Amino acid sequence: MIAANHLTYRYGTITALRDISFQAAPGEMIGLIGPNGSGKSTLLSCLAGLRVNFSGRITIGEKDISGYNSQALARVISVVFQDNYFPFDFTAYEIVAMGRSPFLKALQDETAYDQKIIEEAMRQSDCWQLKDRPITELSGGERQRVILSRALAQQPKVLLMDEPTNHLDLKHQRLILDTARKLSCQGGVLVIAVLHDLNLAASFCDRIILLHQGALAADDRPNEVLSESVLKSVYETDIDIVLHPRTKRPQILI
Amino acid sequence: MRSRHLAWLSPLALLLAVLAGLSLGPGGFGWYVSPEIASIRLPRVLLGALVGMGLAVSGAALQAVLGNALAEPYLLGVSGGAACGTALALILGLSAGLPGAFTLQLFSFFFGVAAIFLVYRLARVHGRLPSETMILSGVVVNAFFSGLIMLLMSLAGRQLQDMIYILMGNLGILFTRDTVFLLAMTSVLVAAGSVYLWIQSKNLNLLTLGEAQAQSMGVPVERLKKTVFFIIALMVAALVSLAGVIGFIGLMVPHLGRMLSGPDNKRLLPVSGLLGASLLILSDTLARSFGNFEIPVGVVTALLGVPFFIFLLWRKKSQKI
Repeated sequence: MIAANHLTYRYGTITALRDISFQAAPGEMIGLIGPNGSGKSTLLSCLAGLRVNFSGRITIGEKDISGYNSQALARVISVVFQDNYFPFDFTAYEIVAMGRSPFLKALQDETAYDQKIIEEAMRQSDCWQLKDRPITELSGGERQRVILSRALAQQPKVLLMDEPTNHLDLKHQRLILDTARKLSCQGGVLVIAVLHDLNLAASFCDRIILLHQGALAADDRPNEVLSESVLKSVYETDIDIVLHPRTKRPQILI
Repeated sequence: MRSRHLAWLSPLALLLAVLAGLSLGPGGFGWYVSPEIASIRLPRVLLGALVGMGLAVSGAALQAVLGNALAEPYLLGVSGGAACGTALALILGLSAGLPGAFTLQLFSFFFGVAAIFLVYRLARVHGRLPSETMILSGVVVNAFFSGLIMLLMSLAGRQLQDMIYILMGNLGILFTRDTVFLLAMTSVLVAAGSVYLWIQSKNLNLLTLGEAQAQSMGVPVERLKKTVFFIIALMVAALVSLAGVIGFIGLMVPHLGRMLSGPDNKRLLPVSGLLGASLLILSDTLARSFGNFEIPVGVVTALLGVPFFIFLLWRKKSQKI
């Protein structure tokens, strides 16, 4: 579905990504981890088509990413951003409905079909009951559910998420990642999520890509990537690893 | 206060404003007192509607593009350029000169257009137009032209009074062949610009969520931003060259519009246009209703605008408590 080949990205004199290659297939749920400044968000925005002056190659489906215009790309990939800012008081429903715009003409209203997709997207991330509330008055967890619904309303084949669980409580962390997981398992959507919380990455993802100083340090199943030796060298701090009593996935203790 | 179904009030407001503008003022009450009175009031009402609508639509669109409710069309630096052109034309005595009576307006318009290119050259970074550098260059260019205007004012001598009147907003025109031509050209420009912005209303909604967000939902952000800035700048240059720098309409009216119709630009742009026209016609009617003394209309809109923003601030504070 997505392939990166020798992807390198430079800002001025800084090399943010160096020679990254990987392939990802439909239905995978991939956690993108790494220390601060390791290039996770940069990689995500390259894959999303938001940064174009990289060297190397990104293919989406069969085609090179440069062969898509922004509307065509938005019909394949949707993005949940880390920072979201709402200067005007659109309702939650109106925000989610914006996810349909890559499928609509300039002044066209949402059709009954679009409305059904919007409702379904809002029910999937449990925010249909918020539909008439202004986005400016929602709590952080409620907002994040609306933002995820907006991305779902695009009916993406690839869902990219940049720290979607930031500042969320346990219930909402689980809700957001469960929804994404369901989407990848049942809907065949490729999900790539930047996660700071390694334990969440270990619990929800089947594959983890670890970045270190802009380069790919590891790309494997959680139990392989999240080992003491790998993490100690990349994160430069002491940690302990235990296995989750129920799922047997690695959990990291500081 | 969330009332989204009051959009119908805006055409009503315009109707009332036009009636008031035609009926009130020195010279007697009534929408058709005499041909002489009508020939003074009608052009003012038309120009007021045009300028008010253009500024309000530009303001609403710019607030969406910049994702900031405090943006206004004069932020782009064009108004300073156009006003400086007016001042220079007055000093050079071009207002009464050849080849037509609208030399002053043309001079002003071309200064405004020059300012657009100046701002664009300053703001451009590797072919992109980041909003922050756009605003900063707008502010710098405005400051530069304000300095020039002050210089021209200090040299103006007896023309100072005229200059102040024209620069602070003046809708006083009479129908002649030249002014009708100017009004028609500006109407075409403002109408075409407003329709373009309205067609882009869905993309403008998406841009309020941020540029990366909008791009990820399929908006060609760089191209749209450049086009919108350029169209707003052209409209502002034309409007300032006709009527001077009338403040607060472009900032205040979109807020009023959101109270009536909500933030969706598909409704907000038309509602703002109608409200802007109404508000400026009413302000101008007020400005010329104090006996034989006329206040510059920009003074009236500023005096109306400040209490309005105090009200907004007060409401925001009381919501937070």
